[in-house]
Amino acid sequence: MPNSSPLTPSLPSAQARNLRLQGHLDTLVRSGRRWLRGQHRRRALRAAASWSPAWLPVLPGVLLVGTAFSGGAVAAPGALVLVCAALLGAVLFICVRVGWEQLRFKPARATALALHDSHLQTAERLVTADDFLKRTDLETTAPHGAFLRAAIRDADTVAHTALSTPLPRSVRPPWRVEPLSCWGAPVALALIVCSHLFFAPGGAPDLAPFAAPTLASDSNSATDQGEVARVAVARPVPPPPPPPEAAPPQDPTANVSRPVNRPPSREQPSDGQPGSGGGAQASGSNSGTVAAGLASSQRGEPQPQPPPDPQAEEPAEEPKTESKKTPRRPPDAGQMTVSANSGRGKSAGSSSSLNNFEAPEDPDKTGEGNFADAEDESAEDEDEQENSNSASKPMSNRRDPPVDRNLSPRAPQEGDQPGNGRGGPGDLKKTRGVPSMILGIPVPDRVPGMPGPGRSKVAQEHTRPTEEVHAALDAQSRLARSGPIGAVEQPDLLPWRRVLIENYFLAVRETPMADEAAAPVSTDRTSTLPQPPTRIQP
Amino acid sequence: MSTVTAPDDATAVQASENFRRVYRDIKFQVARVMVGQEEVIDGVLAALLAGGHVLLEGVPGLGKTLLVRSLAQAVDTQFSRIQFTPDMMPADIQGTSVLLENERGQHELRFQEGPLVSNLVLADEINRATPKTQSALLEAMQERQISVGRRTIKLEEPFCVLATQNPVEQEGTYPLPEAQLDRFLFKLVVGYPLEKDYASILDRTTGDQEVTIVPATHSDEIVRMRHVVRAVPVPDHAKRYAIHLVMATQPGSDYAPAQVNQCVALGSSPRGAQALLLAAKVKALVNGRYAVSAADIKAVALPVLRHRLVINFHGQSEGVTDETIVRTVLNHVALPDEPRS
Repeated sequence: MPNSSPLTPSLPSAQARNLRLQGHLDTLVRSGRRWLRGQHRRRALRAAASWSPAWLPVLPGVLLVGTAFSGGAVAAPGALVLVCAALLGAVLFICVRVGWEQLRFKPARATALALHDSHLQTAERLVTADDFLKRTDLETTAPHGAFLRAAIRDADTVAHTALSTPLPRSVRPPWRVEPLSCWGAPVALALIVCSHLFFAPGGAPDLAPFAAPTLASDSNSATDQGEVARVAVARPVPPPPPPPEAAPPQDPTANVSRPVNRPPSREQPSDGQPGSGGGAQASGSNSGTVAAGLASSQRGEPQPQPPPDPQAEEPAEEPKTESKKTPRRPPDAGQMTVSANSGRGKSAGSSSSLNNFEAPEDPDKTGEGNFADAEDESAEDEDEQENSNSASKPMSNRRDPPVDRNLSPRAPQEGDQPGNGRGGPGDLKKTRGVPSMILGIPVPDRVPGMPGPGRSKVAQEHTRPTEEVHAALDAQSRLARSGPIGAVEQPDLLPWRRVLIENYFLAVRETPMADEAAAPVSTDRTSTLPQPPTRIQP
Repeated sequence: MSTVTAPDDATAVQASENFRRVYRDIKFQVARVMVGQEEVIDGVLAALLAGGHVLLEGVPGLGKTLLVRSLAQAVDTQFSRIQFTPDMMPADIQGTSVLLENERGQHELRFQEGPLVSNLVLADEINRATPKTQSALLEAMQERQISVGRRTIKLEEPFCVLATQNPVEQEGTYPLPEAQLDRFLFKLVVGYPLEKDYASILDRTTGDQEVTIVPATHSDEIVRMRHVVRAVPVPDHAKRYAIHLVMATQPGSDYAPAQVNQCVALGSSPRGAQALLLAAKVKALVNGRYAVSAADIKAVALPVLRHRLVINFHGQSEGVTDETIVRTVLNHVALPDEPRS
């Protein structure tokens, strides 16, 4: 009985209602779009206004440059003209920007309806009804068809409410601009006016100083336009570089004595200074720097060179240092590099580690280089094989003996590492997973089957315990006790004696019960004391 | 089982109102025993009416088991409880053939159904069972049937698995595999009760008065309500929003925020989108609407998506949780056609 229900209108009336709702929704879409466009226009205006100070000097600059290049054929514009041009440039920018934004902004139909929905807090009933009205299965007898029609009917009342409820008057955005832009406009204007007044001789608004600002500060008499133009063409050269004394100290012979095709050294021992390693790496690995140093020393003209910057030179160096055996490593992987170096038993710094990746530039040129390369390659192969087969890789940076991989619990021994998950002797679980093979990444212990193990933090400090010096305590004679003694245990109460006393009192309690009736009644307290038994069993 | 008729446009309103009434009644009965935890009760009821399963996670003593037991009494359905233990085998929950003696004194093998053949199944401390036993639930949860040997048992509707697990006690537990986690509609985290609820909890649990739950509905009504839930239509914009949300949890997709690309190994499957829509339909009906809105999807996104994400090693080391990821996704994916003011 669907048609007999008062909630179920007949089909024509339902269609008429749907058409009416469609019209309401169209009206709401128009008003919503209007509101959205207004909002967008204001937003664009605000954004354009914040950028407009940057356009203030554009038109005046164009005018001044055009006047300067005209060679005096065009009269110089006055200050008022410049100010107007500046304002005109900013206004033009704002207009173009706002217009462009308005052209681009096309709010969707659903967006306009969602605006009313969000305003009326109707849980997207209007958007949903607009969507359902387009459906072809609206009149279906399937269960969802009933809900489609119910949702449309539900939105009908909401649409009426939305039509009668105007959208909130668009809140005018506060005419505040960004701090920089806020100060930008007056600053730009002030700069234009001040520069005009400053360069003008005698305060007259003359354009000549604008045409040649570099000369105007030197000679105020150079007002002739032709002379100004000549001076403007002869631009001053940039200041010469600083004298060689000002350059950072660098030994020019170091580059000369260093052969270009030297056999690649496997390591450069560091002297412990922080910058020494970087300097050696920079001067030794960059062939371009070496060549420049050679040329300059042959000419005998020591040119000032910038201080060596290893980090800046690394990217240029990488393609040359890449070899088939040494993989490229990221520059920031300092810990991994140090670990790899120390695994070879070298105490080299970061500079030496970088030099290890230095490849010979042309190994075929010198036989010595080839021989040295063969030796190096064999040594590297041995080292790599040793490292890959050894279990000491994770601990190699400390040159410690290989950790025990025995997972069964055992008593701690001397020299064992703390049980931090890397083969320690403790009862904690030791991981053997992939993370344990990654150098330098502390891996917290994880018991299998822990979906939420909580936060854990593992801090590994590779330090040795150090002895702290402490002053020895002075000997002091023993003093008498000053505080209360408290409960002092009776030294006489030895175990056998306590048993003796206990037996005594037990015997005493037994005897009066038997003799109580026969005993005379007396008020004398002393007469009631129990008499000791004749025989006491210890 | 009663015959379910398709509601017409008049009965849609009536069905919706009836749905809300029964929902309120069940919730009222459960709330007589369970103090507070409104979100958890709503989530369990939504999962039951949407035809899904629920994973309840919380520390001991928060009333997870009590909630499920109360719900079973309130809906008056067949209820069975399985206490998962490490030595439990699949046959213990599915059923097995036992040797019985008939009237003539002969012995014969007869299949005895396990506790899984029920309407409401409380899988208590599900992570204590081995993955082998946990996997016995896979077919039951998805296909609503059990295959034992050559026998296939169709589970009677409504079938709902309500599993609990304890996130703290990890010794001797086995985390649920992703395939099974994905089969849960919701993962509800049961938190500590509020301060105002403690007094009621103490009064009800330490007094001498026992609260008896009156059944608010029955199995047929639950099945009918499930059909009503399925009939709720979803507009396109809400469907798009659900798709965007699910895709935003998948690293490398167009909608994924940077945190997802960095910290998530596996995102939600399309089953997550299905779960979003089903749960949102229940929410729309409870709120008295006849269609799903994007706000409904957003409201159920956290319990639906939080257990479908796998955080990678980087995310774990950064302390990123699945809840953080879902909240990031919700903030990243804009509501469709939302006017930006």
